[in-house]
Amino acid sequence: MKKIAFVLIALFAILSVVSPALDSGSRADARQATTITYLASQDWIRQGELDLAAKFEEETGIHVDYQIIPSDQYFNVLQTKLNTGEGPDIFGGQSGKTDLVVNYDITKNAVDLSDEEWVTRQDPLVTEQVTVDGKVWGMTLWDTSASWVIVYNKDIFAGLGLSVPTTYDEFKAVCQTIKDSGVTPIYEPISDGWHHVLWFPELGPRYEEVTPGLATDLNANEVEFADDPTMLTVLQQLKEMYDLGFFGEFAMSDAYADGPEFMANGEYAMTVRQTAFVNLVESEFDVPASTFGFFVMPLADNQILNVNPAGPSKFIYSGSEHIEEAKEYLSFLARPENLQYNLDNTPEFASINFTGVTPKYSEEEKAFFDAYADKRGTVYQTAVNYLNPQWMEIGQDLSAMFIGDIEPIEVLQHIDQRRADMAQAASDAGWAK
Amino acid sequence: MLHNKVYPFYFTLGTIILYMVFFVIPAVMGLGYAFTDWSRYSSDMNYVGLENYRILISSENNYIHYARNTFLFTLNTIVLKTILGLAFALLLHNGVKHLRSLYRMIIFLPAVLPMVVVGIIFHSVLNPRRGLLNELLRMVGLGAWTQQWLTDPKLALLSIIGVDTWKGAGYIMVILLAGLQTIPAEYYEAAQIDGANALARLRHITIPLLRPALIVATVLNILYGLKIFDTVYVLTNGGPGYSTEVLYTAIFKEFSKGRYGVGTALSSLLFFVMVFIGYFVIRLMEQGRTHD
Amino acid sequence: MTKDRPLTALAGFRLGRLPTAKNVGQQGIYHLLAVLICLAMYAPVHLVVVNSLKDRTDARSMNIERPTMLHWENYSTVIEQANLERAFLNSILYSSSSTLLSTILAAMAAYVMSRNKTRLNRFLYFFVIMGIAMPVNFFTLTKVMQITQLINTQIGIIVLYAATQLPFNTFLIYGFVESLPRELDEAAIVDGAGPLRLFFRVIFPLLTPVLATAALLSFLDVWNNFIFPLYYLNDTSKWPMPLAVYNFLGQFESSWNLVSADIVLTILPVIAVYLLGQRFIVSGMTAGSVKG
Repeated sequence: MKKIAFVLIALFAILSVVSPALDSGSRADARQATTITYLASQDWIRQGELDLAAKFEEETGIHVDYQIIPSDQYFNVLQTKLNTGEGPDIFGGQSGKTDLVVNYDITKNAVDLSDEEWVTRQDPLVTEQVTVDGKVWGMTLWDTSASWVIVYNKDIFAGLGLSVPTTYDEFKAVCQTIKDSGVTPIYEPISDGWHHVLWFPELGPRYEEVTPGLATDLNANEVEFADDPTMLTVLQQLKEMYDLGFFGEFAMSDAYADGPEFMANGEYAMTVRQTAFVNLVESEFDVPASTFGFFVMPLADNQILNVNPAGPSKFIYSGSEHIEEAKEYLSFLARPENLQYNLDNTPEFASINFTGVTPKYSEEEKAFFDAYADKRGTVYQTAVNYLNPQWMEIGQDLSAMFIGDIEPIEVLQHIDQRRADMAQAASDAGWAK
Repeated sequence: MLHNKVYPFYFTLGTIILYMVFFVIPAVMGLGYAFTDWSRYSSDMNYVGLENYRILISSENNYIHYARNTFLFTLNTIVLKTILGLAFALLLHNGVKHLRSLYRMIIFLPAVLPMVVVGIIFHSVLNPRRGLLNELLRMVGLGAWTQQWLTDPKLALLSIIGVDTWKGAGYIMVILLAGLQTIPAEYYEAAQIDGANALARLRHITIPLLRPALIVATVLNILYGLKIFDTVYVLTNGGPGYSTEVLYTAIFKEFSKGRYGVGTALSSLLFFVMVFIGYFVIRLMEQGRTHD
Repeated sequence: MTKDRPLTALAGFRLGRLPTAKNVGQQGIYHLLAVLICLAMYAPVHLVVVNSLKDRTDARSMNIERPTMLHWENYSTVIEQANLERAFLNSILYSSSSTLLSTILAAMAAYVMSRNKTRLNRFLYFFVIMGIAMPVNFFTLTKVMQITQLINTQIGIIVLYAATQLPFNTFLIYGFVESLPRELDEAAIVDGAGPLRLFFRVIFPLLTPVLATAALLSFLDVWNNFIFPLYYLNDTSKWPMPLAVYNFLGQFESSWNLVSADIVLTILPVIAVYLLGQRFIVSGMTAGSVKG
């Protein structure tokens, strides 16, 4: 018995002597080939980009180390690293002016990229969202043309004789008919914590239509979220849909990643996704993309298309030791042939925010976007300050609202409270006491 | 004095230094920062007095509710783990005659699994749609008992308690097994001659003589329960809504929101409570050990 | 020595107390119970093992049915994709070094505190084991890690881990030292041994059972921790295994077969270490924590 203990301790001792040696060995390898680290949230990095990273390594010998963090922990981890001055070489972040300032303290933490060649080829509206103090801080590489809309199964609609709803009452009736037929109306993955939030800020164009100038007033702190009746209506309708069982029995534990499966097998009739989602369903489950159609979220009788020039973006950390290599990588990604490759190999993208790429919209998508050519508005997480940084907290509040722990009006009050906290910490003049 | 030469003070220095640097200094620093508006949004820090503590007890925040959850978790896991741990220990020590170490090995197994892995596995097992637990219930004809284990606000905390008990009962069993082995067999023989039945032997011999082991187990359970973080974090992260939020996950969320001032205040509050409780229970544990 | 007494006691105890032990029926029920408990403990592990051998479509529902074909290639895919070798070596490095460090430091401290019970040492002992109760303050611990320049270094994470294990190890080992006769020390001193030789040559070997327990529990605890490396290590090439699982899940959330294979590979080493050392868990507990 004693001998075994001795052996065990000796084993630990040997291992601890040997493993540092192993470690330094591989560290020497690492010095020969540069590695740049890249911290990003789950769902931001698609296969097309990972393939390109491999090609980049082949071409330059620089390895890109992707560190993918689950979405509910991402900001937490990134913040800690930025605050401690130990950021990765490249970090991902949602663009949008307030996010850049409030969430990332971008002028301190990122490298000025204004002079990079690719900036001129990036969609100017998108570039504006990564611009602070007249300087460009990041590269957005995303399908920013994609809007979060309701993707619906045309076969199910046709089978029940339903047409596309244009008001909340019609929408409710459609959902009820679908539910009565034994199909669950809407796939809503609440467990990821962020997806069910889309229903609220993505309806920004409707809030603005009902109350012109609302975003400006909110940014100047002249009005609060809790004062706006349209927002309250949307939350009440969302709660009503949850209570009526339109999201199905298991919404609370449903996962975003399972969406394609449940839309493909016809268990659900609708889900909130970007239009290119139908290509994903086709490529993974052999259900033709033409099975699905699109309409805008009709809560509060909304009929305007929600657009968002902001998206997941890439920033180079100012404290990085590999700024040049990181710039090289971004330039590599932005080469026209690589942009096209990225687009072609990412089923979730129908376009990408650079000039010179050939988008892959289907007839269906083209017709849909054309129909809303004159009826578009910017979503509120981009138009209104201090909203996007609290996305996950809003998600938790909405879940609490669904299970009846808090009222819709309290969700709005909490949003106002958190905005005030952030604005005061950022010494925003509108919130000065 | 001779003692100080044979048992020199510098032997303790390594422990004391590491302990000071990683336990005591952060705790003491926290007490100071709790009076500031330290946050990640601004680089300057101001003294704000008791403001952070006021925020903690104000009703708009749910901290009272989180404290209640923490308390419920602790109480329930103590009771469940102790009862199950004792039952398992008795079964292995006094019950089965063969295969003891095999059984013990398997029952302790969950305790060695990483919590991240336990979280992933139980997310799947407790999934209401096609998780193993609900499937089993349907298979044996108890379809009516299927539940939304982790997403029904009434059940989620109980499910967390259940998973934690699953993971920790084996550990408590081992402590109690160790205790059972110190009870001399003669006591039982004597009791047997007196005609005491199994229950009487349990009440009058086993439990009293197991007291030191039971105290150690309970103290470790109390301290573990009040600091609970990872089980909740990997299973529900406080959800649905706020229904399973405990103190430590709340602290962690303040950390992620960047409200460091409020977070350290809450941390410091928990620190005081833990040190206060710890002072008494750890003394109890020490005494139980020295009075054989 | 400490081991023998309970064992002989156990043998006598069985013969003396249980005349019904021959009763096959009763033994059958005991074994049935034990097997059921073991099944409940093992089932979740079984679930991942089974699913790690399925293809992606079959693994989607994570049920316990047997795979139609054994897809061993999942393992090679995971080893390639998840960079597990690196993570494995890191985990070995962190767990073994911090275990070694904290066990030796705690043993030295516990020995001196127990043998030389000055007022200061008594206070220090209690002060250190209060660490079992103390919660971690993430906010200020981050500051400390920065100030000491230990953040994002492997040595930093090892020292931090070692520190977190010290209070419990000190507690465990102290109890054992109390049971060692002082005559040993005196004999060694008469022979002219200095404090270092006395401790490392005479005392240390006698501490083996409790050191094995402390080392094993520390090893498992460190191996399974994922929060510290998530925040205090910058580089995926420094990440240990549980964090690699976390990273892997982020990328392959809809490939449950691969996630399962990754989990199996992650828990294999802990289970191996546990199986090798599990016999010491009970012996060390007996000696260290429940008997004076």
